[in-house]
Amino acid sequence: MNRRQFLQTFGLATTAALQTSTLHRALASLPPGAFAPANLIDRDPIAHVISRLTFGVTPDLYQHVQTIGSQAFIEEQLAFETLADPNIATHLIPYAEVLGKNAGVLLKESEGMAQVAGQALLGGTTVRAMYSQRQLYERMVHFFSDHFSIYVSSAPLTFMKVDDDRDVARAYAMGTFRAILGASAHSPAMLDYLDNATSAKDAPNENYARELMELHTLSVDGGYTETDVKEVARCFTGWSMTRPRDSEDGLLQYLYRPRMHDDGAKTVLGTIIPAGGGERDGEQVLDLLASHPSTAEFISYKLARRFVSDFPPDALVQACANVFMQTEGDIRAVLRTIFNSEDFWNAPPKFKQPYEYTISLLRAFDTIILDGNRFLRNMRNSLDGMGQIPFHWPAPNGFPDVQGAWADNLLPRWNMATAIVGNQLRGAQTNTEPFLNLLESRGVTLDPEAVFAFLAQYLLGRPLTTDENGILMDFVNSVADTPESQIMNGIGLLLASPAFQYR
Amino acid sequence: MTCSHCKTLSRREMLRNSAALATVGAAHAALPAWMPRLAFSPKHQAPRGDVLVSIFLRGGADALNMIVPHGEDAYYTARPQLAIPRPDASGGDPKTLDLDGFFGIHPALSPLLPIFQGGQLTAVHATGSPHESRSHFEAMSFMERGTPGEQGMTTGWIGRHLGTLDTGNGSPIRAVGWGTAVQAALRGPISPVAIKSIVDYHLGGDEKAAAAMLNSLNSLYALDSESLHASAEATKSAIEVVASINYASYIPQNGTTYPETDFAMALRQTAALIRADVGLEAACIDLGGWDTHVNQGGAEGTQAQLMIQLSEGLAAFHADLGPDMQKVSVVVMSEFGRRVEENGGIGTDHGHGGAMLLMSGNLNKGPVVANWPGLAPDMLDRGEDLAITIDYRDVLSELLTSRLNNPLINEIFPDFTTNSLGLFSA
Repeated sequence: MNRRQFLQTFGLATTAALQTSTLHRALASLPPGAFAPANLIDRDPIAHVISRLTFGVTPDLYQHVQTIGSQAFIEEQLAFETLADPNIATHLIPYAEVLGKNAGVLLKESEGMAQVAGQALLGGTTVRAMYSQRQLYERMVHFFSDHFSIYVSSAPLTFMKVDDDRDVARAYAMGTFRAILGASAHSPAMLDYLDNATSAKDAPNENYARELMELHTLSVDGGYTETDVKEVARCFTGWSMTRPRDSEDGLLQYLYRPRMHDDGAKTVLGTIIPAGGGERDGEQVLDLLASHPSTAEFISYKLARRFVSDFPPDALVQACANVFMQTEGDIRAVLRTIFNSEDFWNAPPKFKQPYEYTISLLRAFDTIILDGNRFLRNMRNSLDGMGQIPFHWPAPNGFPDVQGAWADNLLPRWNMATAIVGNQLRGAQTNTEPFLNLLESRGVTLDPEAVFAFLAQYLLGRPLTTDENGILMDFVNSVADTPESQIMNGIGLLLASPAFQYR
Repeated sequence: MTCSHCKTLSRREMLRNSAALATVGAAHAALPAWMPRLAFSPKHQAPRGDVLVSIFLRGGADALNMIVPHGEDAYYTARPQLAIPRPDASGGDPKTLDLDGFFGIHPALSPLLPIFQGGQLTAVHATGSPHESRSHFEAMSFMERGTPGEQGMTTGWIGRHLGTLDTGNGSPIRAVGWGTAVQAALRGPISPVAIKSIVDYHLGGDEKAAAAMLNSLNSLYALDSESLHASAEATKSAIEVVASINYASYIPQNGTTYPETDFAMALRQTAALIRADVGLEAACIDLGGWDTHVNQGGAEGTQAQLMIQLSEGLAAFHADLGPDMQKVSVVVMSEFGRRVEENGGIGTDHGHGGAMLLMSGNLNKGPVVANWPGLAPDMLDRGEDLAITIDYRDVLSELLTSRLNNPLINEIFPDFTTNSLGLFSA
């Protein structure tokens, strides 16, 4: 079954009714070359669904999805709670204890705890991306870590981010939007990062109020005014946190401080919030924002951008926004709408963010971590060169999710690809065994050209073009004279190639 | 294809060889012809002007505490905790360093005082992008693209400047964005490269294999229809250029020592490229952390620390270049200034008007250029923020025409009519 047949059986035909003005705006903002067809060869739907829902193909995953089919795989990933993940606990052993602690407890521990907590955040995130079976869930955690971005520049924010990662992104990544928005609003990390914890009635701080509307919900053109910013700031005065030294249990957690709260009447987006509401004021604002059509559209747009294309079709965004409104912000329902759309199956290539590219390299040939600390130091350096250490985007809008932001820094990617193939990843090792098993099961001989042909299907979901094959063979013939060395060099070139920069 | 000895290759050999990135011979695949992504026509033909160094203070820098209007009582009324004391304030605490009797500079900017006094540094005050947005991201986007209020433009003002000017300079590094991503201002028809560190800017592994891989990668990227080709080609050329300049042995002139910060390293690398004369025409540098909603600090504190980074970096660059400042123009800007009145967290919220700095060997006016609107309540934007009386595009337009030899302002700032400020000598 090729992709075209798949689409026919899928039975979806939408004719996107784009408004002319929207179309013009979209066209005007296209970077050169965008939407040009990547190739004229239909892409294997199995490879497509793996590349879009996960952090990258592995030999086992490739077998699995071919066995159960792409539609069953989507449902399996959406129902992540029932998806067995037997080995992840073992991978998490070095980090689990720290990641389970409260920021107040971490604060009291040893001097070097900031570094340990930072390492646990990066390590936990990375081994889950590499090894978890719940790949779509992990990608959604990644999505919401960016959506509610917190720059973990130093302690104690690093400690608070440990709670935030666990109790916000990981707790609600596939839940309702109101739930994750509420969790974020109560998260000490967010209260600290956007300065709400110290915002009091005499001179409220506008930082959280503004970003709550601009970045977390309505979006910049979502219909709020500068007066709304001030009024929302008043509503959230007093939303603060405990001081671990003062509290009996030593925990650092959300605390409403009534004496800091401005209890006068407010008007937010035209809705009157009567005087005397206390802590409820903030909850009412969150209700208003989470159920607002601009929020539905903005979250839908960002999800479609992440899973479909840098400039997602307006009709798809609208369809998702409708589902968002009908389901009261059920993230899973919005995702299902995306994955069931023709736009998803016809999606143009989507450029991988540096972190996504790195994880896809590590997964393709089953990287095994031998020394976690060494591996993470090395990863941090490489990711720093690419501009994407997780939780280190220096602004509250999260890492950019469009090609234009990343495409002028290719060199560190090429170096990462050659490091994987050259087995020069410090603290880790490439394990080619599962890949060789896969080759064997498909009857592929260890002949360079045959292996490359299979690799193209495995990594890219399509055959190599004649030109690509020629370049690849010229390269390996010029740099290596044994087939095995030719194969390894060819793999390096394929991993660094433009096609593998895209999902 | 069949291969007689492939079938006998054992899995053990294969596993062992996964560690080998081979090294035999160097291939010289034919280079693809370089294709510009867009063609402007007709370009303006002129010799190269100054090297432009554009520094962006990300987060909305509080200009009122940098270029301090110490002659304005309202400033001290609005900021009981944050205001920088007048130059003649009593006591030994750090205070404003006077420039012209009305404006002065924050004490953390003291390394810049001699440069102001020497006529090679000018502050333009109550300036900025006229769009009303108080959003960092929207304001930065408008400012860097050079089209306040217009969403459609995907290129930046420096990108369009380089795209419309034919200086006969074929260098692959006409433009560099220091860091891990190219700044929005630089994007456009030329292919800028993002470089974080020159010494790390090479392909790893064996030299010959790396060269072969680079050539093959370029052939592969030439087949790509998703516009990565120009970026790949620029990367390859930039690797060759930076390898040629031997940065490791670069010694700053005039006994200069740069501070150990990313910001100063970017300036040091810029100076090295200027000295090596490899065709650099524009460089962008970011300095972040200016979003000081809480604990901004006055004469000392968070913002003062940032100003130390800024001033020490700029002063080192100025000293290193010495007489070569005659062919360099530095511009410093931020997406907006901050609220006149301090907030309850000893910080400031988002505002409007701000300041720009110009450092050049060819300034005509200074130390402060302003059409000062004052800080009286009825003169403030929305009743609370410093008003903008000089459009930042007026400053940049003069820079473009006077120092960068590019008169095509209509293409760089569409639908904008410039007002002359007389900032530069031609």
